[in-house]
Amino acid sequence: MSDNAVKTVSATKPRRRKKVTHEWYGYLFILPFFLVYLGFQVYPLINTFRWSLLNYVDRYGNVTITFNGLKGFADVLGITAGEKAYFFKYLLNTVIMWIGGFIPQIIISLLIAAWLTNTIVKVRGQGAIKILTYMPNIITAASISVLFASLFAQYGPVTALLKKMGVIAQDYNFLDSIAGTRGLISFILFWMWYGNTTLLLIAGMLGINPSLYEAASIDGANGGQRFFRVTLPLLKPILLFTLVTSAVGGLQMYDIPSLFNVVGSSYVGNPADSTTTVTMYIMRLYNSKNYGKASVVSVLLFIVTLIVSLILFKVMGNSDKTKKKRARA
Amino acid sequence: MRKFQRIAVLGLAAAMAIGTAAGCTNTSSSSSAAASSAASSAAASSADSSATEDETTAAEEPTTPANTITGDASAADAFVVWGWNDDIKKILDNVYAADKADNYARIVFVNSGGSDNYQTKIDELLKDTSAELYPDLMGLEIDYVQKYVQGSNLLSMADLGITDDDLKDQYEFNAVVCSKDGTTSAASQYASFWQATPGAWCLRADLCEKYLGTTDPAELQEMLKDWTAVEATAAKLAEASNGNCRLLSGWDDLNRVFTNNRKTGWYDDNDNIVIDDQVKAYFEEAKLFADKNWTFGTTQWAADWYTMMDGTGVEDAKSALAYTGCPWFQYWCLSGSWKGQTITVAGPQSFYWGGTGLAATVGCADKELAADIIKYFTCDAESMEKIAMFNCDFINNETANAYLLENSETIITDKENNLALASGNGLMYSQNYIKVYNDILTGMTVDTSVVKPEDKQINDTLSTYVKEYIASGDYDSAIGNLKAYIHDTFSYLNIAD
Repeated sequence: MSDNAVKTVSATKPRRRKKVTHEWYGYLFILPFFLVYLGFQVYPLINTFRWSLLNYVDRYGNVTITFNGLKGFADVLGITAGEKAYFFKYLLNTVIMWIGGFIPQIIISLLIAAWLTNTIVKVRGQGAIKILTYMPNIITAASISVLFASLFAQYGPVTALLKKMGVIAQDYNFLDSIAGTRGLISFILFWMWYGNTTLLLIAGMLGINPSLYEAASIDGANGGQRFFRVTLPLLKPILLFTLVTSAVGGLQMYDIPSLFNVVGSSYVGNPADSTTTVTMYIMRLYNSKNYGKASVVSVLLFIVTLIVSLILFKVMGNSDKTKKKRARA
Repeated sequence: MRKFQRIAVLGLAAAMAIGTAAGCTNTSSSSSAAASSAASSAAASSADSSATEDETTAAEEPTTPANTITGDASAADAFVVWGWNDDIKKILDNVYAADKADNYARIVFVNSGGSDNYQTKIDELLKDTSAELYPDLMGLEIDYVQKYVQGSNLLSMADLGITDDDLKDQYEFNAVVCSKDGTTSAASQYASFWQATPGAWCLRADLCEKYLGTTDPAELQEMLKDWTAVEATAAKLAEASNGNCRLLSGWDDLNRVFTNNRKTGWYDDNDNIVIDDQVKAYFEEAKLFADKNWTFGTTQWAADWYTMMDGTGVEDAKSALAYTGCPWFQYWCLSGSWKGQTITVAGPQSFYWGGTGLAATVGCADKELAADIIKYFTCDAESMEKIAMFNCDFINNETANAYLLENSETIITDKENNLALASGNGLMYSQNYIKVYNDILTGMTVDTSVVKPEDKQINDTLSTYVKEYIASGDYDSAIGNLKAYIHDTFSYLNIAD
């Protein structure tokens, strides 16, 4: 390029467009996601709301659809006379089994993560441990459910072993006991998901500035103090993320309980309907072509999920901001 | 800086394109594989048509098994037959194919991979007659055959050109269950069964000898002739074996004995839910068996339930003496321990269990072919005899069964082991398989007109409420919960009181 040319370019510069922006490219790139999201998420969601107001009866292929208003909601919530409040019953089942799985999961995951990230202990074979903890999550939920059901069956190997060791009574049957079945489902959920949570927490812990630990040590903090005063507060965003995703996933619990202690295609979790979850209820109504009612339950589940998420964000997420505000004031 | 922005934008775009492509291959690999194999088989010559097998999976639903498709569904003259296992396919492949090679070559068989999701899959397809896998002919089980018979998706036997005369050899209880109005005629029959399924109690001879002191079928029947006798035998057995050999594996083995002997349906003409006396009797008998420890408390089809087939009735190998069954149950479900050890008796009351039929759909591509297959499977004595000789099915044809009975000792069904049809796949201890079931069927007093379209789902749920009754002892509460379940699931059915 000659000097002359350079001059020409610089001479014409003021006449060029003031600014070349590529920012709108970004919108173009995220457009496919939003299109798919609109078509496959938002539209069905709105449609579910519409369906929840209809009474849809499919009797052997002869369909009658009538406007039902809010009666469907009143039915499912047990407000209409003669209707059982199945929604609350199944929501309670779901929440109990979720809590039973989540509490040990978060405790064990925190312990493993703290152990693996501890710079003083320096655990050997970290990669292997991480893989082993994550392993249960790779197996499909259906296989795990069926496997556990046969291990803990009345005459299954684990039950037989526990009986021989005198841990459980001779006539005890996990699958006939409400606590036994719920406990096992919670255990499976814990076992499947603690690896996932551990990896998340490790990532979170590695993100904490090591100089904070050094400072704490110099100030004379012991291991416990370092964990509770430094690690936990700084890990809060990750803990919140874990809690919210686990709660949302937990409310939609389906695969494990629907295969664990269920006869045929009844979608009723034995014993005594105590392990039926909300999504199993939706499937049962869908299976009997009761689409209106299935939509009602879906909408209610959506509302519950929304409320739970909002509460969690409010309680855990915003506290930092409020603290800051207070500090400023 | 601007240069850096450009590079970054390009990089991101490339990453996204790769990501999208990767996403596509992950999620739709099965469908694209199916599409390509369908395309390739369409391009190939028609001689190749029977060899393509591919699997399509519903990825989102972890419990939905894949379909297994045999044949080329995209062929112009494809005739699609649906089943929930390979029972129908095996007969098509091994019996029908030999007699009707031209028709057979056109058949595309779809195995839904299990009975639990069969109806869901079929129902979706029935909405669109132009769908490639729209069933031209489909298998139906007794528990839900009425759902389709009462609907508007099937053709009657008369629509297919099958006459009353063609159907005359079928047993009445099997014809009534396929009928729209409870009468038996080609015009009201919308499905047709090839299996006859009289219910019976299968007892293991070695355990009978050991604990009951006899292997004589007549004496054993005497011990199970009514419920008082059954209870006495159960008590005697539990005592004699120290609880290591019990009459049944689980109390839910009694389910079919009672529910398939109901005199009323699950609801009346006004759609009010009705609890038949037999259902009440089932709840009571099940509780008695559970309370007295006359069973091992297993659940039907669960691993424990199968385990109880093979024990020797001692401390570390507990065993059930009897399983309630029927012909298909015998040769399909009983384990190797029952070979040459099965004694079949009628038990305290008549019942039936299951049975498979065929039905042609309104959008059926070729009524003539549908009629031909239905006649071959379910009407024609000669071809039905071949089916029985092939797989030991106890068939739904009086004439054929008379012939089979007469020749059961000489017809060899198991060539490898040189076993006669009379031995029922080598299972029978001393009886003639065909004769036993013929006799039971002759004395049968069941009413299949009470079978309702919702029966399968209700029957599947029943044990949950029996279990509740056993645990709580409160019958009214358990029945109340059962009724609430039925009403909640099928909102057009009402709780009257």
